Amino acid sequence: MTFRTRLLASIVGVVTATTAATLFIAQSQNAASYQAVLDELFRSEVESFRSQQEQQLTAAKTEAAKLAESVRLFAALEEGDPEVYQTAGDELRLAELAFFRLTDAAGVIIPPPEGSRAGGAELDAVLAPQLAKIAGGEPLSNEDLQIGFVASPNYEGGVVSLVYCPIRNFDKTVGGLLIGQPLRREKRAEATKGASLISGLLLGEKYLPHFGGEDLGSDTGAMLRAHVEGGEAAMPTWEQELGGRNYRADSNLMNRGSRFAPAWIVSLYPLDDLRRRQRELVRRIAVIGGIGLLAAAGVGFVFAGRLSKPVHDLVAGTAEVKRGNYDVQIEKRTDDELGALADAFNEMASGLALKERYRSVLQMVTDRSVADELMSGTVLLRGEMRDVSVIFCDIRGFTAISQDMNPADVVAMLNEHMSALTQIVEKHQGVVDKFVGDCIMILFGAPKSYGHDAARAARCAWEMIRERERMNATSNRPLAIGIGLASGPALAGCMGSEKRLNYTVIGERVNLAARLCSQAGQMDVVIDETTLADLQPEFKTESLGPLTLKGFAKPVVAHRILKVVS
Amino acid sequence: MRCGSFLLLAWLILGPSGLRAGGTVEGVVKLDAMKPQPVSPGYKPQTVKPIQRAEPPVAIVYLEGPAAAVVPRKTGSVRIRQSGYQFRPSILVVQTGTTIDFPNEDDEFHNVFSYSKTRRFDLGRYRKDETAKQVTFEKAGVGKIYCEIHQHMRCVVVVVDTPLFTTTDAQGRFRIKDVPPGEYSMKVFLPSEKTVTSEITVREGQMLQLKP
Repeated sequence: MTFRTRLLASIVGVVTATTAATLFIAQSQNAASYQAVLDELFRSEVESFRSQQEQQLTAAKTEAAKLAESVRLFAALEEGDPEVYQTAGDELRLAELAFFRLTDAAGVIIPPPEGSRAGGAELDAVLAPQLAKIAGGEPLSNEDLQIGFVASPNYEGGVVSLVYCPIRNFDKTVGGLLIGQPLRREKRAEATKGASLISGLLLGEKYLPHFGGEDLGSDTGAMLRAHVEGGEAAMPTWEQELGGRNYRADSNLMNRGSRFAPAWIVSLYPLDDLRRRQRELVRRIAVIGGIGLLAAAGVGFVFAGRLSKPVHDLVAGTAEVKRGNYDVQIEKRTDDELGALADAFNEMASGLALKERYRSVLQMVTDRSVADELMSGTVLLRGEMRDVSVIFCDIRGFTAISQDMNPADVVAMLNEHMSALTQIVEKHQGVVDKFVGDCIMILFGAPKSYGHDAARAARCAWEMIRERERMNATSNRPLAIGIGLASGPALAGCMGSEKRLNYTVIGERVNLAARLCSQAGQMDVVIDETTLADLQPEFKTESLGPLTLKGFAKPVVAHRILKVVS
Repeated sequence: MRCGSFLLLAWLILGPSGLRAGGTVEGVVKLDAMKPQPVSPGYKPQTVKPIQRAEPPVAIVYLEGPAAAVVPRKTGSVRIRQSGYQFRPSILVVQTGTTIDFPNEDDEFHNVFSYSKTRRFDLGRYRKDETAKQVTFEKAGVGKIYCEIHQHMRCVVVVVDTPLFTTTDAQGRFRIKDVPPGEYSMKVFLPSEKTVTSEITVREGQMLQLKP
């Protein structure tokens, strides 16, 4: 994957993740806030219902409590007096009630006489079993008012709220009084005004909405009932599908502790509209996110292109440098940090090229290994005493040979000769110190030692002779050479003036090598005693006896290498 | 005897009669599980004077039979006072045709009414200084009398069609003297308002002691 692709992928990934996170947060926030709003709506609705119900029931409760203590009503019920309804009516005086009923001790409704104020005859059949159940349980005290609700289309609102109290004097229950009032819901709570909240009473399997919800379907009551009875305590609110629409439903038991059939207030909030708005919100966020994504991709593409091109140039340039091409220059495309980087690269490449040129020149004018040591800075410029082996090799009778040759041929001949011998020197890790005319000065053990420098120098000298012999076999100008080799301590270092230095060695052993070279016969290698001591048995030598040499006070013992056994 | 033995512990004592003709019936009624005495109802405002305790419960014993016809009727005037916020006596037995006075002896209004089938009446509210109102009970049966003002006040009037009746003492003991010989249904009206019946035979000059 290229840098540009990765950059583009990162930008697109970040934008996508941001959009998704926004979507998620918006959705969960939205869900939480609508849940809180609904809970508040439901709570207000129930509160409002309860307070209105409480207000309406107060009168009925007062009347019921009063009648429960009426001695006349007690006496009339006890005696089964035929005028019991008249008695009760007198006791109730002008209380505004939809209807009332008296029961005997077993909860059986005492039929009201013709023309009494009792009213509500159509409800007797519905109420009879409930009243029997109430009277059948543990005896109720006068304070145990039972609250119930019953559906009746004859009354405004369709629901009648009921208060039942036993008629009892001390220990004896002689019957009961039931008071009914139409349940009026005149106004909604402030909080639920304007909300599309449906609320109503669930009685048995009948759902009687008093606000909203005209066509909820005929089986609404049964469906709500199933849920309310199953999970009323555990799950007060739930989702309910009614007539193909989804609602959030909330139920509250309105007559807890009463022996009347349970009545729940069930509030429904249509979710379809809410969901549609939620989907719209999600769609908007997704569209904005998509546009953002496209824009980010476009900007990213351009930006990644602008960023990756210089980087690509840099990579290519670096590869060129790695291959050794220091002349590479990259294009500066911008004036920012990347432009500065391109400048820095170009400067670095130029610097490297220059250094390489210096190195090449250095390697041409001095030995490669000396050049390397000098470049690496390991050579001590102040000089040091080292054990070295020094070879001097010259061409015998060179002046006579070159006398009749034109200079160009001389140079060509010398170059050929020197090049061939230099290769042999390099092969044995020797250092060509300098060319002086037809003479080559070669160092072993300086500027650094590779071990057994004297032996390596001897083998090198021997092969130089062999190489010259091979060349002579094919050359039209055969040359005879002689080699002198001496080993021992010498001063090594860069020597010369302040402006011009040469790396070389000086010392008595160097002079000895030069003297031995002059003593050597054609195609001979003459070595000193020190060198001989370092040679392995494969070198066969013969002694030349003490030689009197110029510059040396005492005669010097030298040896000639006869052959080297491979 | 078909009455529940746990309710009626009565025995017949045969013995020499007194000066009068006929036998004597005596015994002890086991007064059944009492209804608890009405607790103080806690009227607000309170009554002028403290409410006095109700009388201890007692039972009514009466004998019914053709032989009783020879005994003169006991239809004299009887009083049920309203005193100390109680009807006194709170249980009374009278023969049919008896008139009962209901004088109010308290310093407050009382009301006397009954919805009983025996006698349905309502004397309204009246005070101490007003003329005591009267009610005549013509029909046999049990009449329950209340005061509509004071819900704890209760009174039971047992109207019987025989002059052979008595009220037990607080221990349930009773004695009916001068009972003409013959077969009788002996009925006991208990504090729980249940009535138990047993058949007895009374002989001349004998004391009939009822045993369980």
